[in-house]
Amino acid sequence: MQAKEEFMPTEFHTNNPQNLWQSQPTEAFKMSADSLRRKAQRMERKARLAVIWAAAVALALFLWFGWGFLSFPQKFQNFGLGPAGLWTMRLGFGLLSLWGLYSGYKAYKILWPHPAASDADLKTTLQSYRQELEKRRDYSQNIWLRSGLLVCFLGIAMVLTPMVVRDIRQPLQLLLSAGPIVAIFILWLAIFIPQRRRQQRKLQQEIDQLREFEREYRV
Amino acid sequence: MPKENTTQDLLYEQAAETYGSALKRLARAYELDPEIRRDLLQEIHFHLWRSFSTFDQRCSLRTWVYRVAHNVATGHVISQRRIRERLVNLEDETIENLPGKTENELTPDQSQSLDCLSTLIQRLKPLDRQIIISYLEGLPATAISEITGLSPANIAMKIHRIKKILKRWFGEAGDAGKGGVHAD
Repeated sequence: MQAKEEFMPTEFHTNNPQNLWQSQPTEAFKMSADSLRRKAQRMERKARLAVIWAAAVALALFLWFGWGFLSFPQKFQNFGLGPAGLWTMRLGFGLLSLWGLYSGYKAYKILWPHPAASDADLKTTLQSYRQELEKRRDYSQNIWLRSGLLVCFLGIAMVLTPMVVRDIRQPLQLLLSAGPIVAIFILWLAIFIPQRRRQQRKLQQEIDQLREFEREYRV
Repeated sequence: MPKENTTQDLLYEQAAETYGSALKRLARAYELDPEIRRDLLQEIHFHLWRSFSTFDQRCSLRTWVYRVAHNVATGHVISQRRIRERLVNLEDETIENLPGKTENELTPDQSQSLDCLSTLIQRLKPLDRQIIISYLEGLPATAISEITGLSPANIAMKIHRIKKILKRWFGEAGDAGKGGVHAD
């Protein structure tokens, strides 16, 4: 990295914002081509490592839940569940196993370094700003679908429900064992959903403003 | 070294040489914290260098450099949700009520004036921020229009508003008519 000191003009015009702005002391900043290349390589390496790590976790989840699915009914025969309960649990494990695989694939799609689109930098700042906001809106709108969280929650529910049904005759024990987790989950939903809706509303308002702007004032 | 890398490097060097100081001022307009600003500036330079692998001269080097720089810096602002949600438009009346610099309070202290100006800029939403920065850099309306994608007429309207606000902040000379935006 190189830096070159620029000299400040001796006379400032603090009443003229343009002069003031342009005469502020700045050092010309430049990075060497080698350091830029190294940074690019470092970023790619980091992204690939993140994908490998995510893939390993996804594979572990797939194998663990898959093992749960395959080892039925021997593993769970002492749980005191009927055939319907056992099959519900088994399918829940199957769903969770598939979700593990899917989450690995999603991590690859998101994290793997792709070459930039050729016209990515040709976008005007207005287009770029709007698209960035739309990306955020879409991400927050579809996070449940995209990350497969619905499948994951469905799988968890299928695994837990038979045990809850089994223990329904002992409500105190059930409340003690499942109560805190259910309370935390409900609290999280109560905070997360309204907050997300508020954010989406604000993003949508701004996107609409920008779209209107684009329609009205397009070059 | 492959040929395209050489072209990419040369273009980057030319851009950094010509617009290095302007990019540093741009980073200042987007980030007050010096440490984070340095990271942002590095990020802008990195994206600029990477972007030159696809530079096909469909627009001028200046337009390209400012587009990439503003797009990276805007991404930086958008990622800070708490800050983003407090930003206002140029047309917003609250911008008039910011604790600015009145004629009576003027001091020859450049740093204080710059801080005031930076405070004003950093209250603005990205699009208005891009226009005010370009205006302060003395870019012509046509260039600002190319960079932002807004029509020159709209840019002129925005700049009229900017001048009005700056006039209030910096006194009569803040009108900057002499060095103002021209139609190229």
